[in-house]
Amino acid sequence: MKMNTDKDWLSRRAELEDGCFVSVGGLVESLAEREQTATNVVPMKPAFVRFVQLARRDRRLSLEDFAEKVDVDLAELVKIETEEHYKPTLRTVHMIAEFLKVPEKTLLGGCKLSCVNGHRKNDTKETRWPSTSTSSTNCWRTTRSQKTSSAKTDC
Amino acid sequence: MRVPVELFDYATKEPVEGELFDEVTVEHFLETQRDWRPAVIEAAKAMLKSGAPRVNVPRHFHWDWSTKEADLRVLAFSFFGITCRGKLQGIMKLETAGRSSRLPEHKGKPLIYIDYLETAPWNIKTLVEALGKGPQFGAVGTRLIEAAVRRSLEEGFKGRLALHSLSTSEQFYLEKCGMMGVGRDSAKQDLLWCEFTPEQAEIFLGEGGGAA
Repeated sequence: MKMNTDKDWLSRRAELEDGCFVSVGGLVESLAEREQTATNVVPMKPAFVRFVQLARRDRRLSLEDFAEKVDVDLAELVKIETEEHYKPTLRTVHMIAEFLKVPEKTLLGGCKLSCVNGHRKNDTKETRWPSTSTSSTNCWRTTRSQKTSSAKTDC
Repeated sequence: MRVPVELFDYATKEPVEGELFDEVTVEHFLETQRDWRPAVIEAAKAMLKSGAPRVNVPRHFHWDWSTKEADLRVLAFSFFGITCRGKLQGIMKLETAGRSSRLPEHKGKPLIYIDYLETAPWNIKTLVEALGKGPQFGAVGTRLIEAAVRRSLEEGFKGRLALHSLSTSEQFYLEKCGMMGVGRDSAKQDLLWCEFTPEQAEIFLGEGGGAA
């Protein structure tokens, strides 16, 4: 794709665009409506929590048993299920997704769990999600003792 | 695809080199979510507080991009972004299939549809002035529309392009870009369907433009 390199054209177009709104899409009717949505950057965490709870109960597992089988820290699991604003680590989401045989992206995206602990912008170049390649998967398979000592997912 | 593209630097009144790219990732979505939305809301609040006419207060804000990740993998969609001085300055989503002209003389002919276009709030004069600042880069929206027209040419659609214009943007698309207002769309919140014919698209591209 070759773009226009004419500087006069650019200046004219910049002048024409100056002071105009050019946005397309994303219409909302009122600021109040937008703000309502804006407060929900992590809006569907209850959906994530509900999903995990139902999946655990469906398997007739106690919190302790579930934590053991998923290989996540019990304390974190309790926080996930009880603390409204607690953000699970990516490792935990990964381990839960793997145990429940749900694609990790689905678990994150479907529940709109857009903000989790242990994610840093530069963790990956292409996407924000950890790769499911063998090496990466192994990287996530730290034991609980390792995890609690190293705290977050710094693979 | 990454190509150099010049924007207009309001500080120096000179062109400044940026980059147009189509490898948009979730990171870019999140950048708009993180950096753009709070600024738009802050400016809108300031405008309302200062008594600015409600019609001038932006109504677009933006999508919850966190739900749009799946769109990146849909072949019928194309995404473009523009960066300059290390920051995302504008982003656009195109539909490249399934849309056709609503103009009687071109009815049924395929076109590129701009589903979403947004520039960074610091490039929108009305917003930054509400916060007591000046805009940074000009012609960001123009460059994205240029990319959409050129994509239309690449697809063999001869520059045909359409979008549903927000009420706050109608003046720009009709009067400044030269698009035609074809009619309000009751299926799309009565937004105005605007369209470029091949001839209008060619005029928009200007001297030095033409087919890609």
